[in-house]
Amino acid sequence: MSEVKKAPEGLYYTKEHEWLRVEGDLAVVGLTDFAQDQLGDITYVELPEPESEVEQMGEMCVVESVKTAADVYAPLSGVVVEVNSALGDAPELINQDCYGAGWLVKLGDFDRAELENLMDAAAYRLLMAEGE
Amino acid sequence: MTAKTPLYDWHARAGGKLVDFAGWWLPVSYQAGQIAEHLATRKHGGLFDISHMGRFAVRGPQALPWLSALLTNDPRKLTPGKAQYTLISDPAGRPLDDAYLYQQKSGQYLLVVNAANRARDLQWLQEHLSGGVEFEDHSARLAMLAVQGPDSEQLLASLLAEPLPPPGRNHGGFNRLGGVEMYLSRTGYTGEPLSFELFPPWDRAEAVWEKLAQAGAPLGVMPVGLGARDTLRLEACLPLYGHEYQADRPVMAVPTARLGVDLNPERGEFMGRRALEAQARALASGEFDELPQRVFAVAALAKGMMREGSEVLAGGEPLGELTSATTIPAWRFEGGRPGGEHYVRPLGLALLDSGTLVGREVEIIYRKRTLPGRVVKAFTRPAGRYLEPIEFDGGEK
Repeated sequence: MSEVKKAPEGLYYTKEHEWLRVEGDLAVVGLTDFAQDQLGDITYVELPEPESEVEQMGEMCVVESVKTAADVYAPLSGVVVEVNSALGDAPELINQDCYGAGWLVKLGDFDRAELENLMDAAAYRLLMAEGE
Repeated sequence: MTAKTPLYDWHARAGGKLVDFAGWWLPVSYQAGQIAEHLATRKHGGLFDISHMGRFAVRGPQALPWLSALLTNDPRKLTPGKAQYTLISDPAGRPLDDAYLYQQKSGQYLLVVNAANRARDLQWLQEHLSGGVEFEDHSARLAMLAVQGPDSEQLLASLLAEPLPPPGRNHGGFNRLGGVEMYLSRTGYTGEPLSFELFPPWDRAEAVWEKLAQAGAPLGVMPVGLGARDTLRLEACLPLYGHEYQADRPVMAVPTARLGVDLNPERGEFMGRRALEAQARALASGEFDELPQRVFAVAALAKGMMREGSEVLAGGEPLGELTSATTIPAWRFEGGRPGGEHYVRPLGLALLDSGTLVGREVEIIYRKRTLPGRVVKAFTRPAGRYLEPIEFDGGEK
C-alpha cells in the first residue's frame, strides 16, 4: 500500500485525518480520502447538534463503518452552523466524494489563529507517506 | 508467520485489502467494497476463497464408528455424496468447534473445521484416534472455494464437465472444471438457497478460481472478502465460533446447534452426549437451569449502530449482550426479487436470558446511545432462489 491518497491543495488537515476548507466566515469540515479508505464502507454518521460549540481537536461527531467506529475531531474551535443532513440517508457519500458531497459540518465563529495548528496539503501528504 | 492461500497473488493483483485472519493472508474486501460484495452475493453471486479452513480426511474400515463417537451429529445418516453440519463437543457439552462433514464416497470422509481451531481440533482428534482409522490433515493438499448466490448454479453448470449434484442442500459429488477433478457440494455459510463449495487440489485452485471469476463477471458474480462473508453469515443468523459458540458456553445455547446434534437413543454413546442431553432437557422444560442464556436474533428498529459487546436491556433491566452485530445492507425486493435500491440496517445475534420471548422489545446500548430493537426469529427468508430480507419497521414480528 504505497499509494498516497488524495489530499487536495488549498485545504487544511489534521493528523486525525479531518480536512477543513475556509469559505468566507465558515469552515467546512470533512474526512480525508485516507480516512474514508481506512474505514471502509461508512454506514452511519452521528452528527453534532447545530449551534453546539466545539473545541479544537475536541470530539465533534462519530462515523461508523462496516469495520469500526471513528471519532471525528473539530479542526478548529467554533460553533456548528450547519450539518450535512444528506448523510442521514446516504452516509456512503463520504466514501464516494469525501471532499465534496460527503462533507460533515460547517463551523462558524472560529479563531483564524488556530489555523496555524493545522497542516497544509504538502505536510499532510508527508505524514501519509511516513505512516505507510 | 502469516500463511498464504493458493490465491494470495490473485487477491493482491485484484486489489484485495489483505489482512491476517487466523494466521492467513486474506482479503477483507476487494475494490468494490464490503457492502457492494454483500449485495452482489444476494442478487447474483459471490466467490469466496475459504482455503484457510482446516480440512481433515478420514478413511478406513473404522472411520464411521470413530466419527460417530467424536462428533455430535450422526454420520450414519450420511450416504456417499451427502454432507451434514456437526460439532466437536468436549465431555462437558462445550464446543471445541463447529464443523461440516462430507461423505465423498463409501468409507471416505472430509471434515472441515474453522481455521482458528484447526491445530487444536487436529490434536484433539489425534489424541482420540483408534484402530482402523486413517486420519490425515489435507489442509495444504486441497483448497476450498465457495460459489454462493442465485446465479451460482447457472455459473457452475456452464463450467462443469459433469452434471451438477442433485438439487437440495448438502448434496455433492465429484466433478471436473477446466480439466481439474474435484469434489463439489451444495453447501456454504451465507444462507443462500443456491450455494456450492469446491475442493480443488491446492496447486490447481488459482486456475479454477480464474475461470469462475471470468465466467462470473458478466453475470454480476464477484469475488467477496472476509468482511462481507461475515455480514452474509450474520444476516442469515449463522453462528460463528468465538462469537456465538464459545469454549466455556454450552453447545445448545446456540439454536443452530440443534441441526448438528443428534440425540437419538439408538445412536449410543458419543463425546459430550450426557451433557448435551441435559442441555436439551433444559431447553424443552423451560427451566433453563443448565442453560441460563442462549442466542437470539436482535434487529434494530431505528437507524444507528450496534456492535459485538453492546448491552441489551428490556424495560431498563439487563437481558444480555450482543455476540455479533453490525450494520448490514439489504436489497428492497420488487416482484419477488432484489430491485435497484438498497438500505442498511443494524442486525445482531445476542446472548440473552433463556426465557426471552421472540417479539420482545429491547434497548441496545452503544457508545452511550440507546437504540430501540426487537428480538426476532430471523432476518431473512428464502424466496425461490433468493434470500429475502424481512423488514421490521412495519411492526412485523
